[in-house]
Amino acid sequence: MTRRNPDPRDFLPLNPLEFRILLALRDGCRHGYAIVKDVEGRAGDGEKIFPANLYRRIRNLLAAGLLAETEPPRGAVPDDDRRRKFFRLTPLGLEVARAEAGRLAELLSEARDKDLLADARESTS
Amino acid sequence: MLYLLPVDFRARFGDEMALLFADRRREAGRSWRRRAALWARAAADIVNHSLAERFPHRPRKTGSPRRASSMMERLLTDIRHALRSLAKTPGFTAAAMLTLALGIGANVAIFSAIDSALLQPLPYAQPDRLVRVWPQMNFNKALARGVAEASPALQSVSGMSGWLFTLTGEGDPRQISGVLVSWNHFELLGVRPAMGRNFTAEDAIPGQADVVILSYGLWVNVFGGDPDIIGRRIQLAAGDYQTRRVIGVMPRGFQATDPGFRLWSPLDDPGLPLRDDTSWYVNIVIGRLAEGATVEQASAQVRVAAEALHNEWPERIDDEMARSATVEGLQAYEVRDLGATLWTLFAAVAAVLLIACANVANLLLARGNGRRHDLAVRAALGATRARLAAQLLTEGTIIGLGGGLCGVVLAWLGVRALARTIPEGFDRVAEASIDPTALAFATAASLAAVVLFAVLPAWRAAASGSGAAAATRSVAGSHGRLSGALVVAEVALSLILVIGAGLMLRSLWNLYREDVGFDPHGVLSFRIAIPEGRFENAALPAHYAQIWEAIAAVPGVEQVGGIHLLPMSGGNWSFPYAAEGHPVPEGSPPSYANHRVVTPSYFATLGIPVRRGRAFDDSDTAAAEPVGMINETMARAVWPDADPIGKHLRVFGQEFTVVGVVADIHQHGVRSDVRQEMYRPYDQWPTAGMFALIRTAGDPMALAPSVQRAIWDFDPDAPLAQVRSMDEVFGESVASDRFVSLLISAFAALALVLGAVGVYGVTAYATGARLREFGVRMAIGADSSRVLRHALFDGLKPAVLGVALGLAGAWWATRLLGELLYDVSVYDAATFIVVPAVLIAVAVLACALPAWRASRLDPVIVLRQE
Repeated sequence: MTRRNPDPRDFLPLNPLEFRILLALRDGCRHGYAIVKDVEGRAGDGEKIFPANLYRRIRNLLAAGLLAETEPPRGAVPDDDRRRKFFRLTPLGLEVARAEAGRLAELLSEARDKDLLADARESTS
Repeated sequence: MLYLLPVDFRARFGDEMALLFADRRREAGRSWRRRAALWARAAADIVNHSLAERFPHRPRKTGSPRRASSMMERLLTDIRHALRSLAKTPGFTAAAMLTLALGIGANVAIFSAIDSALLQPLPYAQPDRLVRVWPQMNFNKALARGVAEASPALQSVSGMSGWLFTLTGEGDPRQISGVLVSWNHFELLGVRPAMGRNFTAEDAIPGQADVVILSYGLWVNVFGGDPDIIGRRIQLAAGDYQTRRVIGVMPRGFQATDPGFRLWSPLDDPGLPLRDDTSWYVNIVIGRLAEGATVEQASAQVRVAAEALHNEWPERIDDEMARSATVEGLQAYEVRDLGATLWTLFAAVAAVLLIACANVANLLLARGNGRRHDLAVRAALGATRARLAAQLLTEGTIIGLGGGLCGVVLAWLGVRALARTIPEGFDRVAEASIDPTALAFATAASLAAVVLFAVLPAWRAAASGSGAAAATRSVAGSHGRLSGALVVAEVALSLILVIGAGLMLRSLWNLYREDVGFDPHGVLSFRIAIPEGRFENAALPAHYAQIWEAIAAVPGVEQVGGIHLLPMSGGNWSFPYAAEGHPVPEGSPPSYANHRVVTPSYFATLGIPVRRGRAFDDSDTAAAEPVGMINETMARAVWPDADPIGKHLRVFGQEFTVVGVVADIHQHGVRSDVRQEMYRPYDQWPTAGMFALIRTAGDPMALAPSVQRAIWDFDPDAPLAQVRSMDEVFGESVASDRFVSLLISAFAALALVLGAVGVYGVTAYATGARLREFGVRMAIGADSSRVLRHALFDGLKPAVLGVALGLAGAWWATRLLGELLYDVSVYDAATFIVVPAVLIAVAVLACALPAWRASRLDPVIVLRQE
């Protein structure tokens, strides 16, 4: 490729929901509802995601080239889901997700140095 | 909802979003609570993100701190924030909005009705110059002319005389309500026919007055909108003419002075002097004030004219009549009886709105206090008071507007329901449409309440500023007092409303229970409108005899009677009489009594007992000795110490012998007093139109078609009208009472529910705030029944105070109802005892749940939460 790849760090910081959408697509392509289920299942804070919110985020990610629309995997999908749009992570999306995770990890370790996370761990245990 | 989003976004993701929402719905299952929450939150989601999509934030530069954003941006942020937080508590949001919607809806509906009936001007040119002349007077043509000529403050006057016209030759024969009017009638109102021409002076010349102007509705519905209708001669019989020539059609939407009138014909005036004028009564005289003249001037002039006429013709116009001469504004006169009713209703709905506002205020206070901690923290972090207030203000405004919006829908439904159930006499109310002023008013009122109470907690939280932690505890103090005061007001207002409703219902009950003097059950009634002039008077009895026979032959008919004016349905003949042994002193007016013409079986058919003497029978023919019957009231008044049987009465020069006395009946409706009444047998006083009364074995209305057929088999040109059961006739006579009682009861029920919710809310809040205290008490040995008592007492305090205040208020307010009540004192003891008891009981129930919950506490859990 002759075109210079954009620097993943230009996209940081990510909106939390956008980050979670990227995480949801790490394991392969999914449609909107599957993304929602995956995100809600992992977040566990009971916060629901509603359509306008979700698709605005997806639109932003598509526009930034972090996601792409894709054909669903053949045979793996019930007929009912055929009419849905499926999304997959682009290589850039994967890079950005990695970069964001790194950024967050850095932040976390700083917080841990200041004994902030120790409190959190105690109170949740 | 999706249409809120920008079009390209919608095109790209609209279907996907719908699919996702469908999935969400499936998840929510059948539980309506979860579904409602889902809808609310999805709606907030879309509104929120549509706003964000349409008004994007300026991109933030990385590294630079978030700058104080522009007003617009901040407002949008506030709106989105508010929507999100409201969506998170769908129960609260729904309760607040619904409460407001009910209050606003009821208010706007009733105010719109008042507006169209009382405040909107009549739809004529310069309506404030239109007057009703001497409403108590039954004019004849010469009298109307005389009064008008003597009153220069009246630029012109028009007499009106309502008639039932019989139309034949256009499908089934039918009766049409119309009016004979002076030729200048439409000129006076300032309207012109849409087609054809107006009446001219020539149309009022006797013998040439056989012309008619149709209403638009009549032209369309009966004549199929015939474009060549002008100039056509139609079979329209009434008064002096059997046919009439159509000369005009009124414009669509023209509102007659009485909405029942569907055609107009000229009142011919032979110009006779008063002495010689034996013309039919002119029921109504309206006038137009001369430029610059006032109602008072006209009134004074008409009074002088009446005095002069009285002096000239004392036997035609008595002293009392002359004194009653006035002129009143036409609109003021037409709504005179409605005013009290509508203003009472308005007071009732205004109370409902106040209660609703108090309720929402309470909800907001509780919510605000629940978030005190949150607010205090933000204040400590540097949010200004104004900033916090702005945010809560936005929330309050959204609730207020949402409530207002739902209120409009409810008001619209309410106005339509009102228009459909409206009883006669409220005609202008039926034209009501939602009034923008009313809407603005109600929304503004509720917004003010909502906003005030939404902001109050923010203000206080910010005031306590740095003491964030302190703010989280013991908040019961000032909040408790304020919301307690609100509940007191709510309960007091509800009590007043419920007492009002109680009085109205008792009054209605009395109206229904009242013995009207006859048995209306199982009786069918309708009018047989044989056109006047179709038969010679002498031929009428034979014709009717055959009609009665035809009806009696219908299977299911038990008895048939006839009378020319149906009881309880308006219309009256009241004639002067001279009684044997009671010479009228010179110069004093004669006595009047109602005059009714009946068939022999009339009394038996309606179950009116004959007290003395006999009823009419078939021997009382035109050729036989003239006879009559009187009611008990007349017997007592005229011959208190003597037997009236065999005595003589004279009416219009015709003398007859009293042969029987019948029981009194409420001829003019339950509310009006029984008057003196004379009855004459039909054969001796034949008239063209009669009401048939048919006692049946089963449902009277089921028999109507076969009776109709039986009559038309015999006389195909006999129009039948006003087919109703006597139960219906009775129902219509109390329709306005029923209508008002129903509305006030509905408002009272609403007030009661809102009041109960208020009491519940404040008790739940107060006990919630004292949970720690209760926990401690129970931990050191208080038993749960003691805690229960405490909690109950807490909740009941404002309720009892409210009831006490409400009683005082009701004592004062029920006077408004005075003239609407029948046979019930405005201080009716039973109502004033039962209603407060009911309210207290409701309050106890409303307190019981939170109190019981408090008493079931496990002290350990409560204390551990600290």
